[in-house]
Amino acid sequence: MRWRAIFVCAVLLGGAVLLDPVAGQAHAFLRRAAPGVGATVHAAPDNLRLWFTEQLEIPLCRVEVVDSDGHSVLAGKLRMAPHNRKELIAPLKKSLPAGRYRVQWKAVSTDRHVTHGNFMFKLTN
Amino acid sequence: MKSYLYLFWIPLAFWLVSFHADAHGFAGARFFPSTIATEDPFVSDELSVNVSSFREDQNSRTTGADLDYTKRITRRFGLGFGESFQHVNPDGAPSSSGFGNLGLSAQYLVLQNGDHETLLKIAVDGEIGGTGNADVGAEPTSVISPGIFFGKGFGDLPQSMSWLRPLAVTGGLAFDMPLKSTGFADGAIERNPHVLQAGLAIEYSLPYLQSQVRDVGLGAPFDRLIPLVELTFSAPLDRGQSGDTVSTINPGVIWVGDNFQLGAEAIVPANHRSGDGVGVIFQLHLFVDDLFPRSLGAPLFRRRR
Repeated sequence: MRWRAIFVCAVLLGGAVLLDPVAGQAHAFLRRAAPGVGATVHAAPDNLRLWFTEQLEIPLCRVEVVDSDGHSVLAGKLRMAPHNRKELIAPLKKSLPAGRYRVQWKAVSTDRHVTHGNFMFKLTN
Repeated sequence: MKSYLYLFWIPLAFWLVSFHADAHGFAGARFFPSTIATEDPFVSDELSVNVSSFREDQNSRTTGADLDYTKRITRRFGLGFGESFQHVNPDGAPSSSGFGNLGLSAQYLVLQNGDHETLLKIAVDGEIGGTGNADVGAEPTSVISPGIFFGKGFGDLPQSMSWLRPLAVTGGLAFDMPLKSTGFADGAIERNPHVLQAGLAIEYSLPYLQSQVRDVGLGAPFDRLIPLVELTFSAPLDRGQSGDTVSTINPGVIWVGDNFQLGAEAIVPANHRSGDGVGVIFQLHLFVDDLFPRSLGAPLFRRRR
């Protein structure tokens, strides 16, 4: 009886593998950022770049960067890096003043799993 | 032949109803791993295999493998079953092997708050008495265990305490209620007490540290490690066994991959009733919702987004 149940589970698992067109993908975790997570940078960056562990659905992803007053410092639309579906680029306003900036991101991987995160970086002149 | 057609239609139905995948163990930016010795505070499609070895007393070593599978019916509600196979090896006596009692569970995620990284789940577990081998300790009496389980990440701490933000705790309380007050085991009358079960896990997430607080430059495999300590507590409350508390302290580590996680813990008895010497437990946990997001890993019923 138990071995029969194990057999049925194995067949179900096999069926799922064969029928699932995106089997084996996963959540997109943030691997690295520039400016870095919690970093202090000394020159105003032109872009915020985020590298993830999985390929992304760019139209579903969101990135916001705000200063200490909560005002957005984004200068344009979020875009994907050329030839790399795991990297997002968010253009920032020119010549950002010194201060603390908060990044909030939402990433949707190609299997439609959603992950969120936020971090700070500090800009000094 | 016809009766086996469901083996084809069930996976196909899963695929047809799924459009977006849900996340297992997430509350906002917090990922809660599946803990090894204590119940999780979330509902997900998951398959977990634990292998353990410890000495229950000075005269006997128990080695076993547990398998648990949970399937989400809706995004918040899931059903599961568990089975174990154990090998009991008494010193100077013949060893015995066999299945434990079949376990069933129903779970519901009551609260999932991303801003405060909080999860709350209620569950009812059941152990069907007499379905296992009495030689390896399977009881003849069925037990029902309602419980409540929580998870809390500390990502909402102020910036001045940022190094504590990777911390999280999970835990829960369950109450074992045997369906018969007495039963027969080894030809003798055995009394079945009500038992209070409690568990607590304290975790420090290095992935959270790296991606939410400060990139300290950890490389693989350390950037995916979650060191933790689990505490388990089992206290019979009545029927002549009150005070026979069993408790363990389990320090260990979990490595979280894309589609699975691996874990290892030491089992340290907290008192002489809890075992003799340090045992070990290993975990292989598959994220079925990541492995098969549009079929076996998707909830059976869900709203289209």
